[in-house]
Amino acid sequence: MSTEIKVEEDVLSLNRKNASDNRDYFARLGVYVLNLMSGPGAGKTTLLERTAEVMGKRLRMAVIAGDLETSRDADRLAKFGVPVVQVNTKGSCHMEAHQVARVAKGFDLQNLDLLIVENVGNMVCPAEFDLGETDRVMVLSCTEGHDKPGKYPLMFRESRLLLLNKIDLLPYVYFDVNAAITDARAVNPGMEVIQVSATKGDGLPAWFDWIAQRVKQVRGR
Amino acid sequence: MHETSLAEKIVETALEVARENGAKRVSRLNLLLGELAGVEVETLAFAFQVACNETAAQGCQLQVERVSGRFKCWTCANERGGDLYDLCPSCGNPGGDILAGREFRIISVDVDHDTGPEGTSEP
Repeated sequence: MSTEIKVEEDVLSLNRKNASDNRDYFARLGVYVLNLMSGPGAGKTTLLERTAEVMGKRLRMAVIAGDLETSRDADRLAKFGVPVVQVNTKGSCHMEAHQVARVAKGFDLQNLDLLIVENVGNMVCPAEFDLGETDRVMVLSCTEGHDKPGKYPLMFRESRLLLLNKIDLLPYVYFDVNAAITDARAVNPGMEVIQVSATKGDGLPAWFDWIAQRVKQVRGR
Repeated sequence: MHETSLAEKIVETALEVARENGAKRVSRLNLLLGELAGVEVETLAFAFQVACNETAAQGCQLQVERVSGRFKCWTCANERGGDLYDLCPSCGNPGGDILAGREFRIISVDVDHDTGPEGTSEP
């Protein structure tokens, strides 16, 4: 004899609650939190190396690096003197809010302006998992193709800024910058775009200023 | 790709419901799944069966009700179906609020108070 029991429970509700707790906590302490998302190989870690090198001197910053395995990203970033913690998701394709909460406690958050979470390289799953960040930033590199905003609209819809990376390679690859931006803005009209090359340095000052301005806005609230 | 961890969460909830209701077995789980939820249903179904193994939900049937995407145009407020990426058929502009399609909800679970066909029922 079987009985049906009503549950009506959102499967992701626990993550949403954890994310909301994180958001309140970070806001209370005045920490600006960036969730940096992209597919694998878009250049997130190189971008973070340059960012840590410059912004680590301008602001008090820390990084949480998410990956399936290894501490390679954290090792690369630790050289620049900013506190870095690696989270290995062990096969899971995205980071969850409770992982951020657990790791963030290890930083001196009271004395932090900027916390960057480098999400696991993946264009689908991280979009569904709120971490309690202040802003989401999407990195798309021109070697991935300009069709990506159209194919993975949710990810682009949720981001405040699009960093178009590896623009030094534009002469060598087929990538229509305008098409990529048009498609991204079709799902997210307010999306800001900065074109950069993390390896060559193009556009990076604009990215650094963008961060500084957002930190100021958030801390000024 | 995150279907395995999602399947584990679902099974955990179902087992909890069974425990709270003093049931021995979970025989069916009814799930509402939006087409924009980023979850692949066949992968989820497979991961679900694996997650049920050696628990009180072993062999549990997974019933999935799909929800299509519905959008409200940012420009003219027209409501439409289709894909997130489509242009509004009424005014031709892109973009809109997502009204439906991101659901991922356990609606109900069917539980048994005996241990199944081979089991013995408790008094």
